Amino acid sequence: MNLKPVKHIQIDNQRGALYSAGKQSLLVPVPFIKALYSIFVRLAEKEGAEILIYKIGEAIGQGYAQSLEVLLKKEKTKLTVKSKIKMSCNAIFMEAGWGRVKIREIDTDKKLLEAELTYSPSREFFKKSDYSLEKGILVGIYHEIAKEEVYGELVSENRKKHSVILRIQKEIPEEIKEKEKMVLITRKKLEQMIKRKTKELQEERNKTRTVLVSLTDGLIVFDREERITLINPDAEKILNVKEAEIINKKIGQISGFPILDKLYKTLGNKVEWTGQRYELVLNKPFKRCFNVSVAPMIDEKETIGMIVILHDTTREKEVARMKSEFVSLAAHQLRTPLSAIKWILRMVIDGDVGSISEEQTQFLERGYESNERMIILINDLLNVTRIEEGRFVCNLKSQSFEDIIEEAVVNLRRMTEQKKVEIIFNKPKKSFPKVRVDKKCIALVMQNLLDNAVRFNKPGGKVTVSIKHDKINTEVMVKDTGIGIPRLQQSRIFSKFFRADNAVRTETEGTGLGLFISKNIIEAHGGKIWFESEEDKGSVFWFTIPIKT
Amino acid sequence: MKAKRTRAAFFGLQYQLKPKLRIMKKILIIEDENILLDLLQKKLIQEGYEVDTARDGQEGLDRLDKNKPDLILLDIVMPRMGGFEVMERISKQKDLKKIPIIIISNSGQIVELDRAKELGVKDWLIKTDFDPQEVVDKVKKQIG
Repeated sequence: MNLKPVKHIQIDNQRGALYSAGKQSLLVPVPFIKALYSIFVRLAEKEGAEILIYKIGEAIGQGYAQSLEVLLKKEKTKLTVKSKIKMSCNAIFMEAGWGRVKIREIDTDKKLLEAELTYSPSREFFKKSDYSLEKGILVGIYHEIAKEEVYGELVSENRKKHSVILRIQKEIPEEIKEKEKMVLITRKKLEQMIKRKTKELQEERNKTRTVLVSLTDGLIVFDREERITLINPDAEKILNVKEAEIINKKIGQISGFPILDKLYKTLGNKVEWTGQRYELVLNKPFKRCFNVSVAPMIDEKETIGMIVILHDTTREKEVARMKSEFVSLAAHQLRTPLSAIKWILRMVIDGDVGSISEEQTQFLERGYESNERMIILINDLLNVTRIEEGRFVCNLKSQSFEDIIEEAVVNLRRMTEQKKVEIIFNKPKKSFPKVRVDKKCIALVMQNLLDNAVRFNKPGGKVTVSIKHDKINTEVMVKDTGIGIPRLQQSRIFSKFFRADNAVRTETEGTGLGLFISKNIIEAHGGKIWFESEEDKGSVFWFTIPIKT
Repeated sequence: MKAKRTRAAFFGLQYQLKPKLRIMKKILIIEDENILLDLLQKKLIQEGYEVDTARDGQEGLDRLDKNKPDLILLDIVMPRMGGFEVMERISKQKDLKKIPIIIISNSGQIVELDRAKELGVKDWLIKTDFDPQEVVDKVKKQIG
C-alpha cells in the first residue's frame, strides 16, 4: 500500500476558513465539522482525489471537537475494498462518535481482510450506550459492507476493549451461498411450524373456553384492571346480564345490573384475592345462596387477572336445614315415650305401685339403665344438631369449677364401683377463681371426659383430675391409666361419630359424639381442648377456659 | 320415703275425707301424653296433693277458671293450645298470674327457656332427665 498523505487540514472556527498545516486549535461543534467533511468529500471527488482517512481531534466536552484531519491521495484510483470498508466504517463512526479502524490483509488471493473496529469508551456517547447500541453500530457496518457485495462475518468481540473484529471477503464463498439457501429453507419450515403452533394454541383456547362455558358454577374472569373478559352462561343467568352488555367493561363502572352491583358490594367493592369466601344471598325471584370465591390467575409469578366463582349452595343449605329439623323433631318425639318408660320403671322400682321382689327390682334396674343409655344417645344427637345449626348457645354464669367436677365424680360413682376404677380429684389448696361458663355445658364436658377415662380404664386403674389457673386461663386435666388411643387414629378423635378401634372392642356401645360435643362446647367458651395418649398406657386430656370478668 | 310413711300414717282412715279438710294443696297438670299424666297424677296424690288434670291448653284454661290451683305443671307441645299460649293467657289475668308454673317438656331450647322466664315460669324440667320423685321435689320447693 503506497499511500501518500497529500493534505493535512486543520480548521479554525473563528474565521470560518480552512487552514493548511496550521497549529491553532479551537473548539468546534461536531455538526459543523460534519458539514465541513461532506463539503470536503464532494470537493475531493471533483478534484479527482481520494479520501483515505479523516479524523476528528480530541474533544473537550460533549459535542465539541478541536480539529478535523483529512488525508487525501491525489490520484484518483479505483477504490479498493479495503478503502471502501474503511470509508464506510469511518462514516458510521462519524455519526456515533470517535472510533478507530485497523485493516489487515490476510489472504490476497482470497481477497480476505480483517477489520478491527475500536470505539472510544471515554466518549460520553459510549458511556451511555448499551450493548444493543454497539450491536447497532456493527449491523450498520455490516450493511455498509453488504452494499459493496462483500461477505463479512463477526470473528470476535472484546467488550472490555470495546472492539470487534470483522472478517471480510470480496466474493461470497460457495459454502456460504449454500448455507444461506439452507437458512432460507429453515426459515420457511419455521414459519410453517409457527403457523401450526398458533393453530394449536387457538384450539387450546377454544377448549378452555368450552370448559369454562359449560361449568355448572357461575364464573367471571377479570383482567388486572377489573374489566370483565369472560363470563359463562351460568354466571349470566345468576347475575341476570348478557355477556355483550358487560364484556371488557370495568365492574365498578357498570350500572343498571342490580345483582352484579350486589356481587361487587359483597366482594367489598373490589376484585381482590383475600383467601376469604363470601356469601351472596339473592331474594328474587326466590331465595338463593351462593358461595363466592375469588382466585388469582397467575402467569409466571405475575397476576394477570382474577377469577370469580359463584357456587350455588341453596340446595345444600336446604338439605342441611331439613336434616337438622328432622333429627330435632325425631329426637323430641322419641323423648316422650322414653320419659314414659323411665317414669314407669322408676315408680315400680321405688315401690310406688306396690312392693316387688329383689330379683324383679334387679331386672327392672337393668331395663332402666338401658333406657338411660337411649336417653343419653338422643340427647347427644340433639346436641349435635344444635351445634350444627349454631344454636348451641351457652347460658354464661359465674360458676365454681370444683363444684362441677365434684358433681361429675359423684354421678359416675356407680360406674367406678363396677369397673373398680378410682377417681382422684386433686383439689386446689388455695381458693380457685370462679369462671363464667354454662354450667350444664361444662358439666357435660366433665361427664364425657370422666366417663371415657373410667369406661376405657383397666380394672384397678386410676383417673386423676386436677385444676390449675394463671391470669388468663383455667386448665383442667383428666388423666387415666386406660387403653389409650392408637397413634394413627389420634387425629380423628374429635370427629363426629368417630370411635377408635380399641374403644369399639372394649365397649360395643357408644355414639362417638362425646368428644365432638365437648370440643364444640370448649371452643364456644373461647377455650382449647387437647390430649396426649399412648396405646395401652393411658390418655391425658386437657382443656382451658379463659377467665373473663 | 320416711316422710311419706309419716303422712300416710297421719291421714290413715281420714284419706276418704281429704277433700273436705281443705288442707291439701291443689295442682293442675296440663299434659297431653296420657301415660305421663297418669304417672304424675298418681305420684302427686301419693305425696298428698289434690290433682286436677287437662289434656291440652284449652282444657287447662277451662279447669283453671273452675278450680283455681296452687301450682300448674305445664307441657309445651300439645294439641289445640300449646304451653306458651296458656302462659300468655294466664299472665294477662290478675287473679291467675301469681300461680307458680313449672314446665314439664321434652323440648328445651335456650330461646324457649328465655321466653318462659319472661312469662314468670318458676322451673323448667326436661322429662327424660328427671324421675317422678324429682318432679315432686321441685313442686315441694315451690308450694311445700
